[in-house]
This record gives sequence, structure tokens and C-alpha cells, in this order.
Amino acid sequence: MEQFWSFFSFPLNMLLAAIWAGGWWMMWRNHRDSAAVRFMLSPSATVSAICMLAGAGLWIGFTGDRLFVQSVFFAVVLLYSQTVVFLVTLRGWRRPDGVIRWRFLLIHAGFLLASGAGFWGSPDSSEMRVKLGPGETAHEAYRLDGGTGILSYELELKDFSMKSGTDGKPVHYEASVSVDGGAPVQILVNHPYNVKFGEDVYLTGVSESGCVFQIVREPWRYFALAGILMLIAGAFMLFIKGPRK
Amino acid sequence: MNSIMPYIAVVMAVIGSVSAWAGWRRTAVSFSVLASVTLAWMICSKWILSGIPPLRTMGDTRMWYSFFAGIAGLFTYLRWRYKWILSFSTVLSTVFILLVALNPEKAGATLVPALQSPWFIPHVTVYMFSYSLLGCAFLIGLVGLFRKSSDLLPSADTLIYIGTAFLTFGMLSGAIWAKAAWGHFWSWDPKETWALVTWLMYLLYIHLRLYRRGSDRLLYILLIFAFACLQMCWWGINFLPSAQESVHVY
Repeated sequence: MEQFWSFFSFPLNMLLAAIWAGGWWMMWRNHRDSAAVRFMLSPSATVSAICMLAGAGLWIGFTGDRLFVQSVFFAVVLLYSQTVVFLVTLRGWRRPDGVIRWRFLLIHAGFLLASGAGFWGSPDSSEMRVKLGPGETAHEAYRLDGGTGILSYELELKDFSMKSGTDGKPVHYEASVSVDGGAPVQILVNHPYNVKFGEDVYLTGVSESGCVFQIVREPWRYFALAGILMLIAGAFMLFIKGPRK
Repeated sequence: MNSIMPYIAVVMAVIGSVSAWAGWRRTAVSFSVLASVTLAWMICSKWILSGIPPLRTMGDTRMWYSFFAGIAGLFTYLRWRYKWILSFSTVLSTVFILLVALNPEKAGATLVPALQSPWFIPHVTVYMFSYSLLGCAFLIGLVGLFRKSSDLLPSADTLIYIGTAFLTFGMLSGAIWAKAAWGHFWSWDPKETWALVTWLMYLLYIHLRLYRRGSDRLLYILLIFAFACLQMCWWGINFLPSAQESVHVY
């Protein structure tokens, strides 16, 4: 299924997202009274979108079936939810008198950006791992399906260290790596190294013989982060302003 | 000293809630505040003695929940003057603090690297605070269902809005932290999935209220169901087979 979705990687996903957003924007602008737009803007559509997302979450929650998020059914549910939120945002982001409804806009547009980055950007995302000993270099890494992927740079482990606590558990580990023979940089847990646009190197494990690195490509993460920050700001306004009187 | 603190807090909270029933407002508020201060003292002393924030074990989260449940109950009592809310929040708080007192958990002496993040404290405490507010909304749902009246819905709305705001921050701060620690904002871990389901349940309540859809009975049942999802997210997932794959089991 992962291979099927990778067909939609950049630029096709960007094109499809633009067609989807542009199409619904045209519908909103020119055919506001059409049955499709009226349905998508109805309370029933909002409630059904939330219920379908919650239903999908309950399925994954009870079964642990994470591959469900790669199914066509889940993609349809997400697309439907995004369409509802997109049109609701277009309709409601400002009042008829022109005043912008910031709380509404931040929450809905934030959700749209964050979930949209996950949905449209997933074909461009990848995760690979590589184990390196001191002085070893890598030009490729292992994908989660067991295959190998090419790194567009050379990753070299210069040095690493690990400290254990009194109970023998690791309390601190870090690695010093060099990219394309450049100056060494430190990588720690919670402090990945941004190697290039949308790509980070994480230190996931340390043993006596070397370190395990995780290479994550998520070029759409900036949209996701922007959406998350907007949602947090909207949530803050939800707290300050409370329920609509 | 810390071993008797939970019992002192429970006694104070019980005096506070009985006073609320009796209509002695000042006594109710005073003893409820004292109960919260006792729990705060317990949390602080544990923090200072270990040098590590007490946020790592299920017992730690229960302790925070008891603390915040008392505060949320007091807030609801002060704001809407429901004399029953302090009794209910006391029961909620007592159950969890007694679980801590009767089943003490030993946390390791070290903080594992993944938890060494500036998000660690705000993520967990904000979640626990939202859980306590939503716990009060759950109590309102129970009472409302029993009384068959819509009078309690406006107060539930306020609690849901504030609780959902904090729940949103808790969930999204977790997503930002997860990106830094594990590489992805969202990986459909059982804990994340149940957090999303809980969040969606409260969103459903908010939208049903905004659209004026759904009977009072349905809304009260939704408050109860949403709180059940919240409990699944908090500790219920530990009993699911999928929890074996979770990085959030503690």
C-alpha cells in the first residue's frame, strides 16, 4: 500500500492539492447554492466528519491496526473532513461586517494545515535507519520495509559517548557526526540535526560498537508546524473567550 | 511525612465538601484550598527530594490529577455554586490519591534521555489539568442525566471549552515533542490515537452545542462517553494488546 501512495509524491500531490482546493474554492465562489456546497456546509456534514474521524480512531485504538491509515477508506474520510473544514473556513473566517473571527480562523485553518500536511505530504515522507561505528561513513540507509535508500550526502560518525545513571540506565548519550566532511555537529535525543530542507538526522540508540541514526524526510513538516502553532493559538483564545454567549 | 499527606488531604477535602452541602461557604472554600495546598506540598517535596519532576509513573500522574481535580472542583463551586460539585470532585480526587497512597510506585533514580525535554513538564501537567476540568464536566453529565434538566449544560460548556483548550495544548505540545524525539509529529501510537478520539469527542460536543443539535440526554451521554475515552487514553490503553507497541506505556 505504501508503494501505491508513493505514486502520489511531489509534484503530483501538490498538483492534486491545488486542484482540490481550487475546485472547491470555485464551487464556493460561483456555485454556493449547489447541493454539494450546501451539504458540505451543513451541520450534518461537520458532525458526520467528526464522527467518521472518531470512528477511524476507535478502530485503530482498539485493534492497533496502524496500517489502517494507509487504506483508501481512511484517505476518503480524511479528504471528506478536509473538504468540510475548508469550506466551513471559507464561509466563517470573517463576519458579514468584515471583522475577522481570529479564534475560528486559527482553529479551523490550523487544523486544515496540520492535517493537510500529514495527508497530502505523506507520499513525500520517508524514514530510514543506519548503524555506524566510529569513523564509519554511510551513503545509504535502510528503509522500514528492509530495502535501502540513497542519502544525498555522506554521513560520518566521528565520536559518541554515553553516560549511565546510578541504576545503570542511560541518562545521556550523544554523537558527533560530520556531513560531507564538514565540521562535526552534535546530535542528542530530542535534538536532531537538520541536515537539509525537510530532512533531519536523529540519534535513536547507542551501543558499545556505535550509534543508530534515523533519517526522517518530511518536507511538509513546516506546514504541519505552522498548523499546530495556529491551533495552539486558537486553543488559547478558546480558553480566554470561552463559549459563545 | 509524605506517606500521611494523602490522608490529610482527603480529610480536608471531605470537610470542605460536607461544608458545601451544609451551606458553609467559607469553611468549604478554606478546607478545599487546604486540601489542594497539602497535595501541592506532597508534589513539591517529592520533586525536591528526587530532583526529578514527579511526572514519570502512572502514580505520579494520579497525584497530579488529584491535585487538579480539587482545584477544578473548587473553581466550579466558586463559579456556579453547585454545592454537590465539591463532594463529587472530592470522591474523584480521593480515589486517585488513595490509589497512590495504597499502591506506591518506585520510579528510577534517573530521567531517561527522551524525557529530558522542555516539553516534559508542560505537556503532562497541562494534560492532567484538562483531565480534571473534563472530570468535572463528566460529573455534570452524570447529574444532568439523572435530573433530566438542561440547566447544567451552560456550566458544562464552560468547563468543556477550557478543558478542550488545555487538552489541545497538551496534545499538540506532545506532537511537537514527538517530532523532536522520534521524528514524526504523529505516528498513530495507541496513546496518540486515543488522545485524538477524546479530543474529537469534545469537539463533537462543542459543535452539537453550537449548532443546537442533539437532545440534552444525548449531550450528557456524550460528556460521559468522552470521559470514558479520556480514561482509555490515560490508563485504559495499558490493558489493550496494542499497548505493547506503544512508546507511551508507563
